[in-house]
Order: sequence, then structure tokens, then C-alpha cells
Amino acid sequence: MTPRLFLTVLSMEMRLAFSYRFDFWVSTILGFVLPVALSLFIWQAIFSESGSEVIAGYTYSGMIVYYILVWLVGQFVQGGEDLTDISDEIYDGSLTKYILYPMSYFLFKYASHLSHIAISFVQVLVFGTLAHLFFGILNDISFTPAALLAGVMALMMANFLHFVLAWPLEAVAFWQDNVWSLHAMTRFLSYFLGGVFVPLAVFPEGMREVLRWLPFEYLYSFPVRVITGETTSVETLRGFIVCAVWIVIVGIITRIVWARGDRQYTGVGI
Amino acid sequence: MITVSRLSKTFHLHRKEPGLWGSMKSLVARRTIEKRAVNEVSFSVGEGEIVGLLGANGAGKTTVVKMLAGIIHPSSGEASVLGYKPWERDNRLRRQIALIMGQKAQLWWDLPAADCFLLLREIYRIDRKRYEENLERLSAVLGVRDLLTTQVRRLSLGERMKMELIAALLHDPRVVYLDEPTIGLDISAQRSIREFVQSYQREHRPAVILTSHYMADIEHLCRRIIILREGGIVFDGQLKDVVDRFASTKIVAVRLQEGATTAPDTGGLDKLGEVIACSREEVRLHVPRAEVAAASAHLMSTLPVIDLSIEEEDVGTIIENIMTKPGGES
Ligand SMILES: Nc1ncnc2c1ncn2[C@@H]1O[C@H](COP(=O)(O)OP(=O)(O)OP(=O)(O)O)[C@@H](O)[C@H]1O
Ligand SMILES: [Mg+2]
Repeated sequence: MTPRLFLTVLSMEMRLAFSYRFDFWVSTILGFVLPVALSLFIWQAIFSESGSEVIAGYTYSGMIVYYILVWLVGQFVQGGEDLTDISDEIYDGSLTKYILYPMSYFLFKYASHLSHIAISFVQVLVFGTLAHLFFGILNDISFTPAALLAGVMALMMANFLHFVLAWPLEAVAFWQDNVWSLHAMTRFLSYFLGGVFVPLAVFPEGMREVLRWLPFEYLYSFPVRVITGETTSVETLRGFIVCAVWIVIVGIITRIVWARGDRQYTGVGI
Repeated sequence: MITVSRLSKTFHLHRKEPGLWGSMKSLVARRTIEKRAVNEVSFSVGEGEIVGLLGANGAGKTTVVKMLAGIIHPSSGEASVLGYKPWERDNRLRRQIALIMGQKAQLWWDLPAADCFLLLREIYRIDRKRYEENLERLSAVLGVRDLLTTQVRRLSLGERMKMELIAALLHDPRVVYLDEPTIGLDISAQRSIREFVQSYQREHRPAVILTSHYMADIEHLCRRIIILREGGIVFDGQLKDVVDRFASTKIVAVRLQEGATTAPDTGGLDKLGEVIACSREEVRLHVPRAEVAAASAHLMSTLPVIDLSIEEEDVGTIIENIMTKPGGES
């Protein structure tokens, strides 16, 4: 894959994505307003029920800021739903054309994924600014160049980890007709264990220790805490290492699973 | 350029009984059945040669093509295309081959063809000058220059097929697989695609394997044909030899004088050969080759004949017979 091909894919995908503007904005607005509003209500109830000012280390407003940031980070990490295309392409036989072309399907998909990220970036900017105007989400964050760099790094790694994690799951389509339920399950799991539904601080310490060695929190919770400066530099460094190790492990699993799946592939549809 | 030796492919199918209960049962115990789609096939194709791969539905044509294009792995046997094993998918090989499928779109549906081509230019690393020349020439010949900026999903089947051809040939492939390129097209679109393939073949001398159910495609493009039946080769040779080798009968036809009130008696004609048509105006028979002269003489002497003709069997019919009836030679 040449850099030029990479850029061509990028620009093509961006043109495509922006050509569905209406859908794009409706889905983002709904996707943003609903979960954030929901957590706002739930936590309001919990805070007033318990009568305490601080729960799991968060004040009510701190909690709201966390949810908004997790949503923004999630947008950036997931970059649209484009990765489920892989299983569709295996299942309906569109993979065939990529097998014919002299290039790597993996890198082609990464280029196209990055372009979705670029679009998510626009969303994050718009909604981040709005959220800041309403909730002052950036007020408590002190931006030092080092923290900023660590934040960007954590985001990029989270994004790549998310990309890599999708592959073994998508490859199941080589054997199984329907990977939709698998998608739903892993999404639920990674939201639950990654700190999207509730901040990980509400879990007991023993469970949190286990989670530190699993990949999920490096997708959502970890980047947020790096950006808000909640992690110490030792924690940050350890997080990077654990994340990198998972990328390598999943990468190896993907290679093996994909090679076996590929032998199964029958190029249906022609 | 293409050498195939004892290539076989067996598909494993998971049998699932219909209905919800069937689905649940298949979760516990999956029954697999084996389907031998291609069975010990050997042949070779040289530079500049267009070989027609024929066979009934399900004979294994597409499966052979898929293996030679490197999309699927064979169960056993060998193949070499330009010196590479296709399913190892060496980029140096992939840059020199093309597969065009009438049944399956390869272009990106949401893009206009022009954008698809630009993407392919980067994928195949075609240099700008060659790319522009090729695109200009191909789109002019196929008459689709005005459609280049139309989103692919909005093109008609025939227009899209022409775009698929351009897309597949932009990089001047030396090996081209055409799997039913004219399926579903109207007569004139079929003709223009045929002529186009012919001119591409003259200029570039690629090795071409063509499958088609339209005899016109085969007769226009292929000197040599390979006929598959149930995964095995039953004929590999020149198209013109098919008639000599497989047609055991000729068609004897006579026109009769007007004025007869009834058709001739078929009972008597049956002894000469299989009766195709028998009316007051005309009689047509399949007659074994050795008996053509005798049968003609008999007809002349017993019926009021005004005109007699002896025709070769239709090559399409002969091929159809080889494809479906057991007993063809290999
Ligand atoms: N992906 C697949 N999985 C299982 N069996 C398959 C698959 N593809 C083809 N087959 C079986 O293999 C046999 C050969 O199929 P193939 O597609 O090669 O036929 P074909 O000669 O191209 O037929 P057609 O003229 O209908 O296109 C058929 O019996 C078919 O059912
Ligand atoms: Mg076929």
C-alpha cells in the first residue's frame, strides 16, 4: 500500500461519508443527546436518593463531564460503524474483489477507517464546543503540552486497538452466517467493562485490578482519564504498554484466524 | 501462460433443514455434505488464446475460474498462472490478471465510475499517461464516455458491465477471466462487448478464459473450447472439430410440392431417422451420417420433393448434448 493509495482511499471515503450529510447529523445528534441526557437523569436520581455529594469520587457535575467526554472519545475511537462492513463483505462475497487487487485488505480498511475518524473529529469538535458552552467540560482540565501529547497518544492507540479488536470477530463470518449477535454482545461487554455505561470507579477494587489487564478500558475510560489528567505518569505509561501488548496479541490472533477463514472462503455470489 | 494439472475442488456444505426446528437441530449436530465441484481438471492456455469454458449450470466453470484467479484454494491439484500459484496471491501476479464477473459487481456502488477508476489506478500503480490513454480508448470504444461521472448504482446493467470491463482492463492484464460477461444484456450490448473483447485480444494477446451460456459469444470469440460436465472435462479441442466428432447425424430437409391435402405418413419416415418436422410443405429428419445418401434417395423417390438440403447439426445443440448426456469422450 503506497501513501498515495492511502490518501486516495481517504479522500474517497470522506466524500462518500459527507454525501450522506442528513443521515450523518441526525444520527450524531440522536446518538449524542440520548445517552448523555439519559445518564444525566439517572445520576440525578442516584445522587438525590443517596444524599451524598460525591459518589465513587465524582461530584454530580464531574459525572456529567465524564459522560460527555466518554461519548466524545467513543466517537473518535469508533469512527462510525464502518468496521462491520468486513463481515458483510465476507458474507456476501464482496471480499472477492479485494482478493483480486494487488494490495492489503487490512491496510485498505484502515485507510477507510481513518477517514471515518476524520469525520468523527468534526463531530467531536462541534459537540465538544457545545458541551463546553453548556457544561464547561474543559474548565477543570489543565492542558500542559505533555498531558496533551499523552492524550493524543492514548486516543490514537485506543483507536487502533478498537480497529484491531474488530478483526477476529468479523472473521467469524467465514464460518457463521450471522455475526450480528456477536457484535451486539461484544459491544455491550466493551461498553460495560470499558467505562461507558458507568465510570469504572464504581466497581470494587478487585474487579478494577482485573480490568486493568484487559483491553476494554483502554478503549474509553483510559483515554478520558489521561485527557483530564487523572492518571499519574506511571499509570499512563503502564496503560500504553498494556494497550500495545493487546494490539500485538490481537494482531497475531487475527492473522491466524484470517488465514484459516480464508481457506474456507468460497467467494459466494458468482 | 496458464497450466492446470489435476485441479479439484470439494465444497463442504452444512445441511440445514428448513424451519426453526431445523435451525435449532443444526446448532447441536451439523450435518455436512461434500460437493465435488471440480474433479481432476487439466488443461493449458497459451498467449493470445481465448478458450471457451462451457458446461451446464453447476458444471464447475465458475469454480475453475475462481481457483485460477486465486480467490479460493483448491482441494488438490496444481495450477500455474504466469509462473505463480494463483491462490498464493503474489502482488506481481495480481497486477497482471483480471476477472470480470457478469453476476457480481466489483465497482464501488456509491462512486461514479471515474472515481472507481482513479482508485484502481492507485491500486495497480498505473502511470498517469498510460492510465489516461487506456481510459480514453476503452471508454470511447465502449461508448460510455458520457456516463463516467454517473454513480455506478444508477447505471443500467449493460452500462455497468461496460464499466466493469474498463475497470478490469485499465492495467493491461496479460491473463483475463471472463465469467458470463454478457449475461442479461441485450443483443447489441452483447455484440459490442464481444467486439470489444476481440479487439482487446488482438492488441494485447492475453490468455483469456471465457464462460458463457450464449453460443454466439463462443462462436465469435473462441477457436478452442473446453466442455465440463459434473466437474470433469468431457471435451477439449477446436470448436470446428466438435461437429465432426460428436455429430453422428445430419439434418435432411425436403420441401414438398403444393397441393397435397395431408402430411406424409410419419410411420414410413421413422425408419430413415428421427423426424423433427413433418407437414404438408416440409419434412425434416435427423439422419445417421452413413445413411444420408440412401435416405435422400428414398425421400426423392417416395415424396413430391421440389427442394432438398442436407445440413450439419447446430453446433449449439451438439454441445448441449455433450454437456448433458453421458457418453461424451474425454
Ligand atoms: N460457495 C459454494 N459453496 C458450496 N457449493 C458451491 C459453492 N459454489 C459452487 N458450489 C457448487 O459447486 C458446483 C459448481 O458450481 P459453479 O458455480 O462452478 O458452476 P458453474 O459451472 O459456474 O454454473 P453456472 O453456469 O450456473 O454459473 C455446483 O454444484 C454448486 O452448487
Ligand atoms: Mg458460473
